[in-house]
Amino acid sequence: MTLVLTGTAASAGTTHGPARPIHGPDDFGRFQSGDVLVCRTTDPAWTPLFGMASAVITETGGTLSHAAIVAREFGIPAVLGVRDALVLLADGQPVAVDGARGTVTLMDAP
Amino acid sequence: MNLLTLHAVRLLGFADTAAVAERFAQDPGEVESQLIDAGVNGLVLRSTFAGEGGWSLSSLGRVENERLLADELDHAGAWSTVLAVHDDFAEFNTGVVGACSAIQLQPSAHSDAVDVLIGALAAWRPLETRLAELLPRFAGYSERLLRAIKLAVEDPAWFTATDRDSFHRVWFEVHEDLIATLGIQRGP
Repeated sequence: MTLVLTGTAASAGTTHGPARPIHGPDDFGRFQSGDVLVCRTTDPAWTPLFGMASAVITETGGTLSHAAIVAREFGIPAVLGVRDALVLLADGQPVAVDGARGTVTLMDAP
Repeated sequence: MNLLTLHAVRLLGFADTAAVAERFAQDPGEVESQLIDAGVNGLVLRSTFAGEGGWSLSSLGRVENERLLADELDHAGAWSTVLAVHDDFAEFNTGVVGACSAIQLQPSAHSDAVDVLIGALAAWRPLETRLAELLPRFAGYSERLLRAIKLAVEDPAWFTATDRDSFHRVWFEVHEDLIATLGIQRGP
């Protein structure tokens, strides 16, 4: 059975990649180009990560948040306000992100 | 640790030495040595994103930043003023974020959205004046917001782009400055 998490559709587009839970700036060095950024919330320090991310998933926020605006500027899908995303998405878990529907689908490991 | 140097890194998020120095018109040489010391002490991290090197605050640096800001706030007796300004800001922040989203998503709604941003700037200016009387480092945001609106008339990228001092980028920085100064968590 496929597990699908839902949140607010904040920036359109679809993509897939490995989930990378990032708890704070001390984790930034682990982030690789093409990773799906998973975090609680973002502030200006996170903007460079948006430039490397294939998609963004946050636990807080919605359509009207700074993260939504920044994701749209980078043209990457964003699903925001996904409850417990940091707990449910393990490091490296392959996910498919649909930023228009607001869904995050956990995929089988390749 | 110098409050302004650490706080410039906090506000800019990720920036090279020149930008950190420029944020509060400090001497670049002095700022560079302060940043190197801060790096040795684990307060700032040096990283490279997309080929560009820069500084960002570590978790420890964020704690130190907020400790210095709390001292500054106590010393200036500015707690109630900053709190009141933050509450006012939060009220029209929703409108600004909505207007920025409309500009990105519905080009036909541009003129209404621009009116919201101009209104927000008009509402912010007296708040900035109140803050700057107690904490002079808050001065300058209104001028940057006005400049972004003027430039956006010719090039709408100045509303929300992340690669320049756009209206949203400055606004995001004001928000970060207020919550950092009060030592509170960012809301949803």
